[in-house]
Amino acid sequence: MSNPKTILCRCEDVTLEEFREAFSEGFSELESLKRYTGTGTGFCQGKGCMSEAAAELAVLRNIPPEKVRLTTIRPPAEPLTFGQLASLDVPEFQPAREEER
Amino acid sequence: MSSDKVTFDFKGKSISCRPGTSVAVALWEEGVRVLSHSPKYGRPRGISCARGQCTSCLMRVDGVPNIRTCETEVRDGMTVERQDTGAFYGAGMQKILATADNLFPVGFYYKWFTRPTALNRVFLDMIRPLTGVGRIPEPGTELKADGLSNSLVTDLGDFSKVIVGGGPAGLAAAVESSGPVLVLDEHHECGGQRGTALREATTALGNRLERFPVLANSGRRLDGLIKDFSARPEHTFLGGVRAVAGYPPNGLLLRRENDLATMNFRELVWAAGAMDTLGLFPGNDTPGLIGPRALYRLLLRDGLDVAGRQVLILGNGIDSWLSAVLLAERGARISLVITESGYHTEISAAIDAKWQLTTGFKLASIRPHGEGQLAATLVSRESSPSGPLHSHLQLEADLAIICGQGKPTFDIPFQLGIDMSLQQDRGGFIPTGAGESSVFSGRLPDGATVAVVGEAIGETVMEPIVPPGKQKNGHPEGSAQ
Repeated sequence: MSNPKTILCRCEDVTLEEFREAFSEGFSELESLKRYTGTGTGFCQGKGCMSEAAAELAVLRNIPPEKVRLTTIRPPAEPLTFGQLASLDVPEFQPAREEER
Repeated sequence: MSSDKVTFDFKGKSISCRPGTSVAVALWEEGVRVLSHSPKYGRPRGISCARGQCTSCLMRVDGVPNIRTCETEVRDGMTVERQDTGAFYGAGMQKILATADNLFPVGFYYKWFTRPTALNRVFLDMIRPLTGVGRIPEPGTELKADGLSNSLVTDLGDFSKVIVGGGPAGLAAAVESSGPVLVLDEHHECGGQRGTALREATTALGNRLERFPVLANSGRRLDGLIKDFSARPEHTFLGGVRAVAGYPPNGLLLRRENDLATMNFRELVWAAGAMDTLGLFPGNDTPGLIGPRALYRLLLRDGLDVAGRQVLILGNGIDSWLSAVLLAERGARISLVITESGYHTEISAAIDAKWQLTTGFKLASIRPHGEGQLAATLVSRESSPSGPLHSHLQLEADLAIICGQGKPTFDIPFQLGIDMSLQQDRGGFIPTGAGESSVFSGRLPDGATVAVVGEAIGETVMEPIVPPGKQKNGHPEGSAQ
């Protein structure tokens, strides 16, 4: 019953042990660890785990935490439904960009 | 009040609750603490962030999967189901898995039988049905289009300066601003994640408030800021709005319930605060384990009934005391474990609440216990070799609140092109080059500016509440770990 798992990424169910194992297999950047283990690719898009994962990686690599490179976090930052997106007036972004040129 | 009840269906059982609360809270009060199971290991999950930002409360509502039940209001006649689809979720299966866990190496599911391809196909066919969350609606289920009212676009107006976050940091930025600004917040009132909680606690404490200088000062500062802000009619506050994406060079995607809208800014002040940090320890996903920000929303937005419930508060600083005051007001039984010792007698004398205070312990692990409860194992901070008898402590509770430093929200500024780096003393990722400064100002490629302020840049409100005369041995920061 008592299952002593420490969960690093709740959405994708990645344990701290799995993350460390992936590091020992040679994945040494947050980006590749994300792709290999799934850390930060779930519903919350890394809101809940990215700083924890980065801190753990800093320890594993024995480097200062600020030296850990963050992964790309693409918009949107939370899941949206097609219904919600369908209500959007898409071209709104374009004129602003052209205006600047 | 008792006449107007809302009734909905959960697993064929009809559940009655007060209107206006969320599905997740209605279920919690009914004793349903497990809302979902995790996708891979089938671990039980309960209410966690209470703001629609995590996976834990996703359920199937009226046949539609992946509904955030912590943000979904109860409606008469709605059908709520867990969306466990895999074979893992049988009652006995969990026990078998827990014992068989050691037989499976880490990541076996993507390392075993990768070759030959035919064997891999068989293997995947075998293990895939065991996992996963949700299933797509059956063919023929009618799904309605979500956001077609489009009122958010018109409400946004044509502001060029926008402040995301209506807490102390956002309001301070608005008050200092010369031109008209739009202040957005996911809450419907300004004051921030702690605002309503702070107001209630300062009222509840009455003349005992001055014994809690941090609460008193924070309350006074917030009241002053709200007053100054409302004295500026050119500014607009828009509640219930969340920034959901940043598109370079200067685009924001905003959401209010199902309505989306875009806006282009010239100046953005990111004051979106921080998120609860629960920390890494065994059992850190146990249902019932939440952070203080989630607690404030559950108590004040959803009216979570905690009367007679056992609540464990871990940590130090403003959030632990604020949580304690709010919970005591509502008749919860509180065990308060503060991570430092030395001043608990003054604190307990200042509040009439009957809570059990423990000092000098830190959290080791948490596990599910009994029917929807949890059990926390604490170990002595000074694990002295001579005192093994006193080095462990086990506490059982319905809820455990971990009050540590929050992690700054950083994703939207990062998407806009502000480089971020991890600063652990600030709780997480903050703009690179912010140094010790409490304000970061950056310029985007097209000339628009982004400033990051407040808890979003790691400004801490974690000051421990040290009574007068005890300052000399007080450590500057407390943490649950």
